[in-house]
Amino acid sequence: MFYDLNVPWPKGVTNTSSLEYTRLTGAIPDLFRTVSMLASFGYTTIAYDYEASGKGASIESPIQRDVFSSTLSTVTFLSRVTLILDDAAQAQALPSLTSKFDILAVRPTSEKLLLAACTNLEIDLISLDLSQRLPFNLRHRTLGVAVARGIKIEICYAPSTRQGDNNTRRNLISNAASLYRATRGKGIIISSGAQDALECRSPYDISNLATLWGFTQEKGKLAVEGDARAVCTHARMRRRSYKQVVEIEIAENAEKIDSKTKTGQNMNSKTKKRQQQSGGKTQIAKKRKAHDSL
Amino acid sequence: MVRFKSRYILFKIHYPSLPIAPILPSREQLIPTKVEIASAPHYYGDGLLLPGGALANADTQTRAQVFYRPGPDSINSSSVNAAIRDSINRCFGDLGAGLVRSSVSLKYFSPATSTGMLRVSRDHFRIVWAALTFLNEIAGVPVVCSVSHVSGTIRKCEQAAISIDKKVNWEINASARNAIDTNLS
Repeated sequence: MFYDLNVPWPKGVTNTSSLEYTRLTGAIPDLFRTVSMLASFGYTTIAYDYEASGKGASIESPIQRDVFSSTLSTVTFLSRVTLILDDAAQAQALPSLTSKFDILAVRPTSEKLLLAACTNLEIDLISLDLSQRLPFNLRHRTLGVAVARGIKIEICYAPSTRQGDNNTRRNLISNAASLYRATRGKGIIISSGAQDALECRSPYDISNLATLWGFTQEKGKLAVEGDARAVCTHARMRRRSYKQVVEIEIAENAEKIDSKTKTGQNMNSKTKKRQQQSGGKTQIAKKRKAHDSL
Repeated sequence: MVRFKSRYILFKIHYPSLPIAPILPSREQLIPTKVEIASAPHYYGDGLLLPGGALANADTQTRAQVFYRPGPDSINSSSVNAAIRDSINRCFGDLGAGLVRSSVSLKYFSPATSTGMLRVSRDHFRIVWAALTFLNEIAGVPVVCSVSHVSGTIRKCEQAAISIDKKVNWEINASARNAIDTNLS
C-alpha cells in the first residue's frame, strides 16, 4: 500500500471531448505512462493534482478521476487541488472546493500565509515548492501546529530526478533537511509530482533517498505509506464527518473514496456511526471544537 | 578485526520512453474483420489506442512488455558500470566516489531482462542506492532505475531475482491465457 498524492493533471485537458483530442496529441498517453509506471512500482493510491491560483470560488475541477480506472484496476485514483495562496482572502473559498476535489492542498507564498495554513485553514496538506529557495525560514513553532492538527507537509521529489539542473536537486535536499529539522520528522509525506514516467521512482528508492536527507529509515517509509494514508483519511473525515469524529455512512449511494471501504451493500439505507478510535485525534477534535466556538 | 561486510543490490532498469512492439497480437489482430482492418489499432507509448474506443490494453501483458523488457544494444554491463560511477560522481562528488570506489563492482548484468547486481561495502550502500535513483540515462538512452532487493549475500540476491522473474512470467502467461480465452469464446 503505497501512496503517491501528486501526479499533475495535464494542462488544458478538461472534459471528455478535449480528452479525446489530447489523446491524439499525447498528453493523455503520457499521463497513462506515468500512472502505469507508478502502478508497476506498487503504488496503490494515486492522486491527480490540479494546481490553481486566484480566487477559489470559480475553480472547477478538470480532473477525470476514472480515466484509467478500468484499465488499472488495482489503483485507487483521487483528485486533489493545490491552491496557491498569495492572499489571505482566498481562504474563504476553500469550503467551496471541498465538493469538487478529494484532497485539499495549499501552497503558501509567504510566512504569514504559511502560519495561517498551519493554524486555522481546513486543509489536508501543505505543499511548498521545495525545488526553489524558500523566501522564509521553516520554524518548528509554525509547522508544529500543523503537525498537531494532523495536516501533513509535502515534499515532491520529481524536480530532483528530472534531467538537467543541479541546483534544483541541491535546493530540494537543503529544504527537505530543514523541513525535517523544523518538524522533528513528523508529518512529512513524499510524493512524486512527476510529469513524465521517467521521473517516477519506486517507493523503496524514495525512502532510501529520505534517509540521505536525514530521515530515519522508519520515518522515510512512513512518508510514502502511513502518513500519506493519513492524508487520505483526513481528507475523507474532513469531507464526510462531523468535527472529524463521527461519520455517517449512507449505505445506498455511498461515494467510494477508498475501494476497500465497505459500502455496506447488505445494509439497506441503514446509517452507520463511526467513532474514530484514536484518542489523540478525538482530543484534537475537541480542542478544535472549542476553537471554533470562540 | 571484523571481516569486511558488503551489501548486494539487485536493480532493474526500465525504459518507459522507448516505443514497444507487441509481443502478443491483440484481440483485434487475432480476429480481424473488415472494419477493424480499416481502423487498425496503433500503439502510443505503451497504451494501445483503439480508434474511437477507450484507451485500452493496459493489462499486465502490456505492462510487462514496458517494464520488464530488454533494452537497446548500447546498454550492456560496461555502459551500465560507467553510468553508475558517473552518477556517483555527479551526486556525491569526490568524497562519495572515493568512499565507494574500491568496493563497488557490478557483479552481474543481464541485458535480456535489464536486471543487474551490484556489490558495495555495507557502510556506503545507501550512497550507491541513491546514485542509482538519480541515474537518468545510460549511453544516451533515458532510463529509470529501481532497486528491487538488497541483501547481505549474493545468493539471497539471486533468489530474489528468480522469484521476481517468476512472478512476472506468471503474470504474462496469465494475461496471455486470458487473451486467448476471450478470443475463443
